[in-house]
Amino acid sequence: METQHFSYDNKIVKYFAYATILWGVVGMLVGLLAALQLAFPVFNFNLEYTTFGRIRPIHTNAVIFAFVGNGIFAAVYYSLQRLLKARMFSDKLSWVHFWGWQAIIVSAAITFVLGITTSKEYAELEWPIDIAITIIWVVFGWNMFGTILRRRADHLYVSIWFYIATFVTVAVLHIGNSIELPYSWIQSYPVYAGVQDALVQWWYGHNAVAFFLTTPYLGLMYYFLPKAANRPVYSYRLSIIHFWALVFLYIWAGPHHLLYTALPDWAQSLGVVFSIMLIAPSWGGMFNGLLTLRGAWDKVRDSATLKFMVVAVTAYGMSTFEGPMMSLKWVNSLTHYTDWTIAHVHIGAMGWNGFLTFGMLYYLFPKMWKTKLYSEKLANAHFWMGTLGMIFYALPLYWGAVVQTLMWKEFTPDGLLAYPNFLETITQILPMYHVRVLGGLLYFASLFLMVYNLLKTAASGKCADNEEASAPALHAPKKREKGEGLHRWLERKPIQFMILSTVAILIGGAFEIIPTYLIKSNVPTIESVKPYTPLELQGRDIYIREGCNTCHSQMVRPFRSETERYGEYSKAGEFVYDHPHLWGSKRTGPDLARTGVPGGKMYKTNVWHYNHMLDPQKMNAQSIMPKYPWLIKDELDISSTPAKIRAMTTLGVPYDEEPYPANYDQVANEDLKKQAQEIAADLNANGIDVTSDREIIALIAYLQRLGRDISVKE
Amino acid sequence: MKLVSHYLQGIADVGFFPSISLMIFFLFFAGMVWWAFKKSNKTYFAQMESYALDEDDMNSSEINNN
Repeated sequence: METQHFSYDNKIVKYFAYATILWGVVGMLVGLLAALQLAFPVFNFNLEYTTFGRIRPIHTNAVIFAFVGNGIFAAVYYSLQRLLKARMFSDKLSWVHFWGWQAIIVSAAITFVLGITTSKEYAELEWPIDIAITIIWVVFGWNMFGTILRRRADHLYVSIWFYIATFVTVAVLHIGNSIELPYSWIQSYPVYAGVQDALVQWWYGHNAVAFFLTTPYLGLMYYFLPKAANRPVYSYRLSIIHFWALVFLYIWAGPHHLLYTALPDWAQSLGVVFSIMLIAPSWGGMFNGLLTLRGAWDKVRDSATLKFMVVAVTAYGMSTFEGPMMSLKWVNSLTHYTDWTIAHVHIGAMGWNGFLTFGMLYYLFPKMWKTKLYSEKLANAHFWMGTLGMIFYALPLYWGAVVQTLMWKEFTPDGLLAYPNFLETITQILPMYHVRVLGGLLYFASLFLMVYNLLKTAASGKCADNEEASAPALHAPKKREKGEGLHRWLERKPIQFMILSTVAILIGGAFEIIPTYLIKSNVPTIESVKPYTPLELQGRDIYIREGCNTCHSQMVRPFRSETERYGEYSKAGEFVYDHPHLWGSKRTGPDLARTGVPGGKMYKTNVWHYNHMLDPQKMNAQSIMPKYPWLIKDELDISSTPAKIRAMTTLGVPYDEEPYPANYDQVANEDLKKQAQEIAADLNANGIDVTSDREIIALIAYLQRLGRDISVKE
Repeated sequence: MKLVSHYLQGIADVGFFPSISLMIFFLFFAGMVWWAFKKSNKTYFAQMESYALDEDDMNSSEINNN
């Protein structure tokens, strides 16, 4: 057979690898800042650009999409070429992909600092950037499939299946969750509201973890672990089961348990058996990784690369066990809204994604620069420091979460809340936040050992931008050959493979999404729930801009410990005009769903809100809430009101019905001013010198509206 | 999420969705396991297990493990 000569594109891999390192440092530095802010509020710097509400999405997005994202692309561009014995399909596409992705990251950072956000966790980017992501993602997929079609290898190795599933599913998730209606050149409202918005958001959120943080990294594991250990994969059979079970199951099993109460008994039993059985694919993957090292454990002692990979795979096993446990109802009632969630995701991000990326980089640099690692000792130091950092990060948070949740739920013998003041429960766990900073600092500092080590390694060798290679031409009969199994045939049919994996995720997706669409007509409207006034709408957008929902939930669960603390539990019908929903997922501060109920447990006066936003520490010395002085200084931009009202009307909020006058968008600002003057007058009467055109007035209007609708007695 | 499941239950025949997806998944999973454990695939699997390790790696002096 004819031998063909070609070259691998190493330059693009090198760039993606450098980008991973750079964004890793940036993302974790911002994470360290966020941790500091929670421990010492002074680190919010009293600046709108640097408060926790804006910093937190920068950290999460930087780590997920910039650090892990570039890590995925470095891994794909390196391994795909070698597994397929072909150069990437188009150098041009590779570079459009690279620079496009970096531009998206930079624009994300800028918009978040400016408070431009959709508020949806891990999907905070606004519509123009969403479109850019879609385009660049298609470029990536085009380049990948082009390469697959031009390959010289017969079969698609298991890593490539994971890459294909990643590409397809992330595309579906991103588009599905980003359907939004722009009201300005940069901002938008999601088409879904309330319950529906929450369901779609967490369908996305759950599966983004699966298909951005997990499947591509499993592909990475299946390639780089055998390479680094120089051992064959433990079981290909297990990897096939691992792949199909994971792809099918993840998307299917997300918030699916919501439906279980409506299931027939036989299906419930089967479901339970299956849920337990299905820890198997995740753990199958873990064992497949760990057992690849059978008979080679002595190498782990000597190689930092392998140490990183072993801990990464173990962290994957821990996270995938902990996750299902946290979805059990009674566990969830304890862990939800606490730092347990934060600890859980950090085991995944620091352990699984972080350590696997580091392992890959320690393998890639010597390989690509054709030299030895500069210092195995430094790499080992990085490993131990990073591991310690992770432990010091996660353990205090687990401990703090347990302490806090038990405090939330504790009653005195008289049946009163033992800790009625939310702040007490924060003050109690504050030392844990301090230790967490130390853990984060260790992990962050250890990065620099890697940076130095890798730069030194690169300096001691030379990376050929184009690495010469040769391979026989592809022998690929179109039809199935005699004796060729179905899956074996499928493995050399990329298009059919992609279609089948798309079908696999769509079946799961469809059966989960259809009820979500049906639910809209099933949420009973509550007569007294009315659309927001224009001023409240503006205030709500300030609430979103400042990221209040990162620390305050708006969802009182039907537990006595919560109704005693906050008031009436939340009902689906309350959220029908909430584009987007602001339920939140973490309570660093108290729930705000009932803060506007006059005479309610959470009620505060306008004056209190004003003073509290200006200086929370003046009201409660122990408070860790940032100060928001600019809300008092800055004038509210009311020029956006008509466009916002029009967008909301298009989305089904009845501003076009009675009692609203026709063309309400044009006169809405009159209502806005009137309501603002009332609030300003109240503040003035209580000795506060403020005019009615400040942002704080709108925010107070919104806060005073929360929960008020259903508290109105008819 | 009790709040949500309550309303989801109100959808007519909502039990159909989880039941059918569970069945589809179960059948698919069972089929996949059956296929993966078929005897005839043994040699092929062995070959694929070392697929990532090309000749270059097999003979190399383990650059990374020094």
